Amino acid sequence: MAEGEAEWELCKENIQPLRRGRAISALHQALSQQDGAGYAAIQQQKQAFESELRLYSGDDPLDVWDRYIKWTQQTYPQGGKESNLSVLLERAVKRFVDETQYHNDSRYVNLWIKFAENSTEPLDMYNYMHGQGIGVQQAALYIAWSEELEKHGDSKKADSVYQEGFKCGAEPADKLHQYHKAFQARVSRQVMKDMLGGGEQEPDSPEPAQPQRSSLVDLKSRGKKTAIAPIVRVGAAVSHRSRGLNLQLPTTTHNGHNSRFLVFDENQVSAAAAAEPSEARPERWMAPPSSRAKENEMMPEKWTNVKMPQKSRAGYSVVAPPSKPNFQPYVEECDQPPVVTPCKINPMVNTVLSVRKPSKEETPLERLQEPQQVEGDKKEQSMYCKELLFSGVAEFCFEELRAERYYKRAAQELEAKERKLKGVKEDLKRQIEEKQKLLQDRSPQPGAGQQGRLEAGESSQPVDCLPGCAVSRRQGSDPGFKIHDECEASSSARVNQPVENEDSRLADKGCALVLPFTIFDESTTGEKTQEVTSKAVGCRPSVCRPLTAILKPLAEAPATRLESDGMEGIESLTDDAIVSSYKNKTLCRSPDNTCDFARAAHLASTPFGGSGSGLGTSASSADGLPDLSTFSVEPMVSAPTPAVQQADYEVVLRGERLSPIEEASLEDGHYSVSSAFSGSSLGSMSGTKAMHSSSGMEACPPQLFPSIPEETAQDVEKDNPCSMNSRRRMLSKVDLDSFPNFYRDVRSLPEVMESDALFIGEEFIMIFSQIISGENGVVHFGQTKSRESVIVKVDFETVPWDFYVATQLRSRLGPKSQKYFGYRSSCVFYMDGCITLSWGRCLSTLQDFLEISPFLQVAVSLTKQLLEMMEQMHTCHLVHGNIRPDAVLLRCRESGDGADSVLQMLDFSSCVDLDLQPEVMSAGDLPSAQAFIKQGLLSASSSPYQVDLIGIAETVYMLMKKRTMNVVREDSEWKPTDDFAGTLHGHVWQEFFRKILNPGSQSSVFILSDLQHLVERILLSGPENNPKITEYF
Amino acid sequence: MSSTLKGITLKGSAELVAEFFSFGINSILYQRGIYPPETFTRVTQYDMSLYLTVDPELKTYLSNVVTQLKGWLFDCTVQKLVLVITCLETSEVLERWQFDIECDKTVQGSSGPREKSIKAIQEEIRSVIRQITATVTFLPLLETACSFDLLIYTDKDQVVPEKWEESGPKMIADSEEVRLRSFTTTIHKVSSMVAYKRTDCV
Repeated sequence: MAEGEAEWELCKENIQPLRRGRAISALHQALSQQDGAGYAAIQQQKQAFESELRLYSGDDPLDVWDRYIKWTQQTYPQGGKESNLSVLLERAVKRFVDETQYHNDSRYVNLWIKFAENSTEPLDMYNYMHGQGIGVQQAALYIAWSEELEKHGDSKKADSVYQEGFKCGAEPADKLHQYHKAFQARVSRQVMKDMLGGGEQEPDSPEPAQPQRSSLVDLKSRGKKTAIAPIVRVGAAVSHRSRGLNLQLPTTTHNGHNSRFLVFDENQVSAAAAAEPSEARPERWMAPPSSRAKENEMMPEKWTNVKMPQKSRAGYSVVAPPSKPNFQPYVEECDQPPVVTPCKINPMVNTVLSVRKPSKEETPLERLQEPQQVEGDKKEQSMYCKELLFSGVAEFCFEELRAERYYKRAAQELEAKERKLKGVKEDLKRQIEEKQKLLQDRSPQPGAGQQGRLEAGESSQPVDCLPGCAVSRRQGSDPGFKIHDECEASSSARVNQPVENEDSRLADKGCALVLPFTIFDESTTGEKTQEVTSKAVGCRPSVCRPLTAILKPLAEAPATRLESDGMEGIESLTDDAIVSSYKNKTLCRSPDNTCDFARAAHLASTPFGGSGSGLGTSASSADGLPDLSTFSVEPMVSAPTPAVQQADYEVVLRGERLSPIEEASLEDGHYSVSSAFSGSSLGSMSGTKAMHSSSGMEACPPQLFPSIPEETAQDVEKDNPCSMNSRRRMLSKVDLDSFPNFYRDVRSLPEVMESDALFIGEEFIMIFSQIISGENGVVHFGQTKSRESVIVKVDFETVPWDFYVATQLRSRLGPKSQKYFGYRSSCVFYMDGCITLSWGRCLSTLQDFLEISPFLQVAVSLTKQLLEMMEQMHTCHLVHGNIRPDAVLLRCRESGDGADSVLQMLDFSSCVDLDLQPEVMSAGDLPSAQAFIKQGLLSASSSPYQVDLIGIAETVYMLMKKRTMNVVREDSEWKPTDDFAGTLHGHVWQEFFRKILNPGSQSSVFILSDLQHLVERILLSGPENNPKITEYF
Repeated sequence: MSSTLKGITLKGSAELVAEFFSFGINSILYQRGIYPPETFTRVTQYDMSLYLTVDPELKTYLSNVVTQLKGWLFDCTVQKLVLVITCLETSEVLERWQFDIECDKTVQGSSGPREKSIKAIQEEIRSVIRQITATVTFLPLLETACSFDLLIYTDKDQVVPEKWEESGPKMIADSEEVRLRSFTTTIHKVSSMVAYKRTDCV
């Protein structure tokens, strides 16, 4: 651009001057973007305004409109259709017409004035405003109004408007006074001139008054007529001169006395009398004024019939000038044509002309009054957020709204994340300082060695294992399971008697899991249920859910949605921004909620269609077969129950009671019952199951295995039970979705980086140092928002095995599980992997701890706990398969009473669930046992549990000797190469290793408990028994 | 000032520029409505009709300023001329028209005329004044009664003449600035600019 050579100068005719001026930068932008280069930017800004209009949640919605309109004025200097200014003004004005708090807001009044100036009948608009009480306290209204009147030459009325303004106490008063003075000056000058010049033109008038031509009249002469261009003064230009030029009264005075005939209507007499005083202060418009065409909206008509105004002899036009009625006409209240909603038009094709739809013309004022008239008979109510879609100038679709909300939330989350990270950082800094102080205080104490080690380590909570420290930093206990309360009360009522002595939490869990599966019982025989249950299960604690009416669970569905729906992936539309007012009580809570709606659809279409989850619904029978009520769901605390009974139970369930429909509907023919939980036990093949159960707590002696029915062994593919494929297959039989704290995420696995923060499921997790990494996964320390420590395990495969095992442990062990296996874990299942969180304040692996712990006593205590932990696992028919010092974690005690241990399993990636994987019958089937078998330490046919025994032996040896164990075979017995003669309690340890390395055919559970007693003896008798340390561990 | 002259001298240049300011200031005063329009009369200058004030006081004031300016222009000691429009009541500066003047001081030594036809110079002046007129497209409406003030920046060693006083620059705090066209006589170069209070939106 050459110096001073400005685009604006070239376009000056196309720039509407604004009262407040224009920002030159905006002007440049707008003008340079006409060619379409920066068109996108403007559209983007516009879209931003549009979405802000819809999603604004502050307490000043007018602000958005105000800014939007100002922006529009600046951005579209030439006005015009694409600016949509008049539509925008109309919407804005309409939007707040009922909100009285804005009525005297200067911004709102200015919007009204702009709106009026854009309309063809501003006076009506001002009248209406005044009648509605909009802006009666704003000087701006009176100024604009009287200027408009002045333009029409009605200075008397203009003055009365000013007087009205003074009377109403319009603010700012001095501005009003100033304008009034200027007005008076203009009028008096005008009057003076009229008097002096007698209506003649001023001699010193710089230019003679130039009458304007009206547009679209014939300029050419036709026929005999001489070419006289008709000069008809039009519009406001007649009277209005800028800045105090003499106001010439228009030649066509507007008055109501143009009509030739006065028709007397006796009915009108009284009304007219009443209407007269309303001249100065018009009544509220009950009906809009006569419709007048908006600009460019003239009705098409035949021009051939239009006659040129004939000059009459008297010299004035015969055609009466358009009269302004001084009465307020009556307009039918009904018969409003539908308002055409504005829609996005591609600006590229915007110039295409189309035939105007024949719709009734109406002024903006009429449209404004529309809602008032409609109010009476509101017959339809839209069940979607209509006003959000049509709020601004453009029309939004649902997806756009959702996207906007999504982006907004994403931005907020990002912000929150940053903030939180900052917070966490500071927090940690503070903690470190604290710890350092503490460290200095405690340095003379025996724990100093540990400290030094841990501090040097990368762990961010290094000193937690200091004696006494744990207590001071204990965190509030967590409620454990996230179960919706709604069903809690009712469900616990249904828990059968035997459960009562169990932890109530278990019962709740059972119930919550049951909920999604409704079993319809036509005969509604409660006794029957009871009877069958007691017959089949005996003393088994079980949760029954009889007599559920079919509609109920559906109505309750939102409560259990998280666990059962399978709809987590779908973003629900239920956001306060959108729904709030659209609730349909009849079908579902909110039809805007995608999930609710889907449920309602289920309800509407089938008697019972299940709740939408694939596997989980398999227990749902078609129209109630009475005997289906016999299915009770066991909460799986049943490990210690006599297994024979369970077998019986299976038979009962499996008998001829299955409905054919059900059988056909099942994906897996083996399924008879799919309770939330029983996939692992009931879903397995019955033969094997019975066998396992009958062996009960006793570890299966190897010689029992050959007796397994052949076909069971055969139809299971012989492969590595720890491989991902076999696990995936196993887990496919289990309804993971029904597990608490199991979430699915449709995204792909997030990248987990050290000192990063992640949203995992519902948790915000700070990732700390990595513990181990393998090809299939990585394990990190982590911390939640509420400062709870977690272990974050990232699996690169979509096999949430760890979560499954942890959940099984918890369910099979009951409350006992908390001691060793944490009180809580959750899992998020991504498209290409999963992340498992297990709660527990872990510090380091046992391996790390080995290097620093100088205490034999500690080793003894740890040994005992390790034994107990493994005993518990084996009780649940779970084989850990890979016990090494670096697979066991040390953690802080959450409670002081020893209810939980300092040990926790790092992961269960080598774990085998013998209940779920009945094909694993001997140690030879386990990949982790192969080394031992080669060594001869283990025979391929021995019980799989024995793998763990060797693992324990090795670990304990490491604890004692800080080196790996070498074994020799002496007298057909295995023992470590070096004896324990020199060490304290050497003979006990020798006994320990003899027992653990030579289990023979004894069950592992028995051996483990035996060994515990052995170790306890050392603990009790030990002269080194340091009370402090025992207390800690 | 006949157009047959081929060259331009320092004296002629000073006159031309002073004349431009006389018309320019009048034009701004009319355009911006500082004085009532009826106190202006239309004259034809630079091949277009311009408005000159008929108010005697204003006329005298302006001719005084222009005469003084002409002297400075001849001395090549003037740097800027600024027309400041202030609100009469609050004395707030609303608009600031600034004309930067660059003087070619070497011309004082050599007396020979420069090569530029007067027609070309007037053409440039015309476009400047046209642009000043066009600024109404973006300038805010002056809704209050306003007064104006003329500031002239000279070289530092100048003696302040009678009836003149030293003044501050009267800048607008939060302003929008638009550079306008410039013209040059080859001896004096005048570039113009207008600054106005920024609108508080967008």
